[in-house]
Order: sequence, then C-alpha cells, then structure tokens
Amino acid sequence: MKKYITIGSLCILMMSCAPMIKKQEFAPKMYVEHPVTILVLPPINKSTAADAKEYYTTTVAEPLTNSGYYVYPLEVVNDILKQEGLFETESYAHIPPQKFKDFFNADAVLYVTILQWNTSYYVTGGNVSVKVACELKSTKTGEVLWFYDDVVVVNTSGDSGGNGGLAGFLIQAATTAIKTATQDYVPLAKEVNQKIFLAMPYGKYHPQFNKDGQMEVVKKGNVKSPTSRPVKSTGSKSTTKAK
Amino acid sequence: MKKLSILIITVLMFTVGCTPTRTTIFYWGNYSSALYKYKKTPDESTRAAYKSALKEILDNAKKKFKKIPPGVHAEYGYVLAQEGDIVGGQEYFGKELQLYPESKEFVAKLQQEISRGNQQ
Repeated sequence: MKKYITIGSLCILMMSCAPMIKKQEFAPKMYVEHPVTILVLPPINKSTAADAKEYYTTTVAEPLTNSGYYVYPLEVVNDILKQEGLFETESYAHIPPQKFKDFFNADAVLYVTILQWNTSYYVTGGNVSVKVACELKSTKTGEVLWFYDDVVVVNTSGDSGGNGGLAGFLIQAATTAIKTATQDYVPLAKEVNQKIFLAMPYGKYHPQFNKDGQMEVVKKGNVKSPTSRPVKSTGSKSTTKAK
Repeated sequence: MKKLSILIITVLMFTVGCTPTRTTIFYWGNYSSALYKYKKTPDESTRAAYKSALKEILDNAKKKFKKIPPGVHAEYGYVLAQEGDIVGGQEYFGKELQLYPESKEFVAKLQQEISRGNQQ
C-alpha cells in the first residue's frame, strides 16, 4: 500500500514540476513588443456546457490585470462587438488580429478556448474539470506572442460510507452524484486562470515588468486553438462587418 | 503512519514550492462573484449588486492600498449610461481616460456608442 502511495506522490511531483522553461525563451516576442492593452475576445466554447462561455468571462479580468495589463472591460467589449454585428464568437477566429488595432487601438488580442467544462462519472466516482487554452496575438504583426493552456480537475467521489457491502456502495455513489452535480465550475475557472496568467510575461503595471524573463514556467506545447489551424468557412456574414 | 505523514508534508511543500506567489496590484473587491450571480440570475437585485461591486472598487481601492483596475471606471460609466444617466456615464469615461491614457480610442468608441444610443 505504502509503495503505491510513494509512486503516486512521485507522479504528482513530476507532473507539477517538470518540464520548465524560462519566460524569455518561451515567449521572446513579448519582450520585444511589450503589449500594454489586451482585448479579450469572448471565448470560443468547445465544451459541452452551453453556459460555460458566459460564466467563464467573469473570471478573466482580475488575474489578467494583475499580471500587469490594461484589459478592456469584457462586459462592455461584448456589447460593443454585438453592436458591430459580431455575435458568433467562433467567427472571431476568422478576423485578422490587425483589425482590432483599428477597433480600440488594442496592442494584442487574447483568444480563449474553453476545452472542458464538464463532469464525468465512473462507477464509484466523478470528476469535474475545467480546461482552457489561451493565445495572445499581436495586432501589429498578427503573430502569436504567447500561448498557454491548463486544466483543473476536482475529484467529487464521495469518501464516506465506503466500508463495503452494497449499502455502502450505494451511499457512496449517491454522494458522488450530489457532489458532482453541485460542484461550482467558477472557482475552478478562477484557479485555471491563475495558473495560466502566472505563466504570462508581466505587463507594464506589474512591478516585475521586463524583469521576469528568467522566471521559469511549465513548458507547454502548441495550443490547439481554432485560430492556429484553418477553420472551415461557415460563410458568416458577421465577419465582414468588423472594421 | 508517521512515515506517511512526512511523505504527505514533503509533497505539499513541493507543490507549494512550484506555485509562484502572486502579488496583486489591483483591488477587485467582489466584482467577479457579483457579476457571476448577475449572469446566472439576471434580475434587479443581482444587477444592483453588480453595480455596487463596481462602485465599491472605485471607493475603496485606495483604502486597501491598491490601484483601481483598468476598465472599472469605464464599466461603471457604461452601467450608468445603460440606465439613462448619460452625464454620469461620460464623467466616468473621462476618469478612465485620465487614469489610463492608453484607453483613449476605447473611451472615444464608448462616447460614440452612448451618443448614438441617446439619439435613438
């Protein structure tokens, strides 16, 4: 038993600590361009939860501004984009980032993709997970300045009443179901954002601005966001309206 | 058992060691949770709570020895304008611009939106 715990702990350790990379090496363009203002577009929702988009956006401004950036208020931006005829968030992926330079004079655009916002059940347990990918693009060059993704998973398995027998099993399964159903996603979204935006080079308003190049972050592979691969054209009318 | 606790403590320490601590520059009060409640159940009382969360940041950031975050003046002004208080809205847009000059084009856009809405 002890052996398994040791192996398990080692696995956790390895997952949380490796592989690391310096911010400067991970996102060199950030240290050249130094964007000040960030336009966060309404997220693209790839999860099964229809309301994820709406709820997730309430958790972005706080950690992103605290990383040192001027972030346009998301609520206001959403309204303005709608008034410009941009309803379908999926259509933002078709708009060249440079367009948003003209729009608010934003230095960079943040594309967020919600990959998971769901619960999964297995025989005696359950999980709730939130997974998000972010991609920051320059409005000057259209290039990707920084990307990151992370996931937070909460195990909602009931740990009471599991002392064998069918009754115990039933109680545990019921507890899991309740815990999983009532698990609030927003704290998980907050946690994910904390992790993601900590890995971002700091902006102008952060005391460590331009001094965090040697700070190590967990290295990520290329984010599979809809903006980084060709998206099939849906013939959306709204995309042409952006000026 | 003792060994196990030592192991758990070690693991915890490592996990803490891997999470860089975060200094917060801006005061956000309970903005996020008020906005979330408003989105979840949009009614008069949740909207009022969202509005007062914005005002609370503007009023109390200094007392908390933190800065007023970017966009909060603009967002509060936008809420006022939506309620028909155009003068109040313009006032807070002005404050956004004063505190964050990089918001110039954005504030101009907001002012344009407001006057357009006013004419309709």
